[in-house]
Amino acid sequence: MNAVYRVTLSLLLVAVVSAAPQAGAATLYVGAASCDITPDQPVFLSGQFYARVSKGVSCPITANILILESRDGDKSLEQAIVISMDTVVIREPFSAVFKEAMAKALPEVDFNKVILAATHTHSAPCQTDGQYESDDPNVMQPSKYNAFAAEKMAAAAAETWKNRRPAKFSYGLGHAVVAYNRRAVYADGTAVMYGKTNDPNFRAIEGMEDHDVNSMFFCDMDDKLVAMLVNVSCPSQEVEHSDTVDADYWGEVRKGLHKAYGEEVVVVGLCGAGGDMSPHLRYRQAADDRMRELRKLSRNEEIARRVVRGVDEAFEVVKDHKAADVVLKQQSKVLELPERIVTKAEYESCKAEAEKLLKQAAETGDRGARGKGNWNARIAARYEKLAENPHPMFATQVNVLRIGDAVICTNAFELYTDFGIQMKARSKANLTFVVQLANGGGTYLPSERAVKGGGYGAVIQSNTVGPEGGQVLVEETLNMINSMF
Amino acid sequence: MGHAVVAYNRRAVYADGSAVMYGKTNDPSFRAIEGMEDHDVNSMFFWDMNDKLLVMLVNVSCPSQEVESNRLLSSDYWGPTRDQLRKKYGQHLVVVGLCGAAGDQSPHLRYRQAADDRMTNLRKLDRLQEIARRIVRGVDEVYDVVQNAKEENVVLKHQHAVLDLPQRIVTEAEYAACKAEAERLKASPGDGRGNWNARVVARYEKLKSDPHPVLPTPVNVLRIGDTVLCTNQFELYTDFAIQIKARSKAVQTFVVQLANGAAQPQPPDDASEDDKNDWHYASGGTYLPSERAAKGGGYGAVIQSNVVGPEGGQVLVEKTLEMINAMF
Repeated sequence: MNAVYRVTLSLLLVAVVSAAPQAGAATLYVGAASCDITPDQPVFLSGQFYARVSKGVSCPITANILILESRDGDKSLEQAIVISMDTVVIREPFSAVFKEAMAKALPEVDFNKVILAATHTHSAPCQTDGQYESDDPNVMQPSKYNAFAAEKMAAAAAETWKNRRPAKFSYGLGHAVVAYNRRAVYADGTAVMYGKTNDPNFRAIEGMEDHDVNSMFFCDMDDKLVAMLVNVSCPSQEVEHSDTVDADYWGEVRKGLHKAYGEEVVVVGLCGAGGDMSPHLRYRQAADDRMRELRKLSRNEEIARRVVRGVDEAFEVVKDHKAADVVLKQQSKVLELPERIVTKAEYESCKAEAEKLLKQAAETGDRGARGKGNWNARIAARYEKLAENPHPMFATQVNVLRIGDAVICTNAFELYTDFGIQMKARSKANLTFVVQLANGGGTYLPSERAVKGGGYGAVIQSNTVGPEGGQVLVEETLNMINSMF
Repeated sequence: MGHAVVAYNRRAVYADGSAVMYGKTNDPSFRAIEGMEDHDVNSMFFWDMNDKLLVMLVNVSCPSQEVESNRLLSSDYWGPTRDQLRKKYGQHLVVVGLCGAAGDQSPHLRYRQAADDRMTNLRKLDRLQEIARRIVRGVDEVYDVVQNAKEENVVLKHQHAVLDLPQRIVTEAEYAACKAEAERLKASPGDGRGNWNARVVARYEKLKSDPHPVLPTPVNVLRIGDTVLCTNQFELYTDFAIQIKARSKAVQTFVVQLANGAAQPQPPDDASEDDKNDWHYASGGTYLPSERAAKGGGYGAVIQSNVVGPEGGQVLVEKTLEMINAMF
């Protein structure tokens, strides 16, 4: 696998000049690159409470970079860098190192113009020292991995920036049934993540599934496709218990798209709002498995087949509707969202659970118990802080990037689909790309009905921000989007 | 099994917990789509012994009502779907289109309409053709795979039962509201909502003599190989069908709504006008709402829209599953 391959929109200078727009009009400049960030030694794989040390690489992990700039002659009007990273979450330790690396490698771009989003693969390196432990001395520590990945990504971004060229843009909507709502609701009103759907008490799937595949396409001035940005509202975690480094379904999607559109096309895969979604089949599994087996595909290959079809159906239509002169605007804000308030009952329950689990961990060395113990202990601490600050706020970055009539809006959470649908329904953009797990390590942000149902992902331990804060996120994001149109 | 995004859940839920069929989703109070959408396209294919495709049975969980407000006879989206399938697979082909459980669904776009319309316009299609395009893709992706996995020696079993489902009980408050509305609408005899409300009044009054009324309803279950097709007469909310699909022992389960109408062929000759009126109303199958829909209210989930409610729906699920699973 190449360490870095670049797409330079390799036009002859004369071609660039002849393709340049008339003075006064904004021109879109684009660059794209794929950067291999696969570690060459064992790492802790992040995504489960328990520790997993990688035993090899089953699908290399990459960061896929899209550079955008609108220019009026030599004057830069707007800039944006969109990076999809094969990782579970963008944690602060990585973010800090990457910001520093970008400041050195590409000082001319404000870091607030960078959208860095996780695909949510659960089989990529951990970014936080001390989160997991192992007696294996060969395990690459998270801080070392962070430095390795950040340096490579920043260098690739800087190189790509230098090679940005005039380009054309189009976008489209397709569909793929990839996301399955993972929350089952039972007769007593409770909800369980991955709860059995063949249980006689099963009554419903809690909420919607968003099967849109939103795509953006970027071509050079010779109409050669150089990059595509693909937005699927489903985290990339089909092989989430893997003991090898794996990009999960995005690895197979990229392979499928490269086969169809060319190896050099950079695929920036972005995860839409999907806090309550996963690619795991939730019911009628036998029918789905039969089709997949007849096709002789793995689950990730089957998911990729669907996503590629969703991209294909959009590309076939919009490939003849490209524009070189598109509006490019970006806003970045830090929003203050009200935190979910820990109730006294939650405090007492979490405190008791933390004490029990941490005692068990101390006595047996059970690292899983320690992880879950800390998960509960954090709630006890949050409650105790309410005495001095009864209305705590959570600061979170939101970026909104308008490209032509489409818009990308980001958030740091595992955002429940209901919120993503509100944004899509009320956005003034023709097509709205909601991107979760971007520019921060947010926790689940559950809908109101999810909190009522409870279960992992919607209990207090899983949430820093609750439905009230989620609604503020929706309203503020919509204010940002709609002010751009 | 293939997929097509055709059905859109038509019930919008608002901040106060109320639900509205076709309620605005760009309203600041809009909070969620009430429930799931089922985007499966289940298909069966039948060939002659020379491998010539004769018939396909296509099950889409969405009623065919995209052009429901025009004044022309129309088969709606099944028309262009059949045309496109015949164009591809042969003009002789018989396409049996069956509507899956979808009381809460419709083909009308519910949000991000501008993006969808843009794509349809760029394809130079109308909405019916666009829906057909999606279904045909859903059929194609299956046919490509299963055309080489045909079977000749398949199990065929068929059961028919008439189930007695508990009716949704009219509450006193519903009675009072419907009575007032029926009285008010007497001034507008052409307005069908008058009878719509009056039937609820009559139902309530009959509870004195029969406090636990049931609706006899036909259910057919047809096993073909490892698949099964189960029917009901209602506009059945998606939640119930997902339960059936999730708990069925068949490899693939086709739920078919609005099938076989009433259990009894006609109302008794000596029935009162009210009873005849009830029979005709219930014979075509009314909406059968999920529990959350009944809580949210709105057309399709209010008492006037339902003869059978969530309790009866659960009985339908359990009895249908008993019939299905007894066949495997």
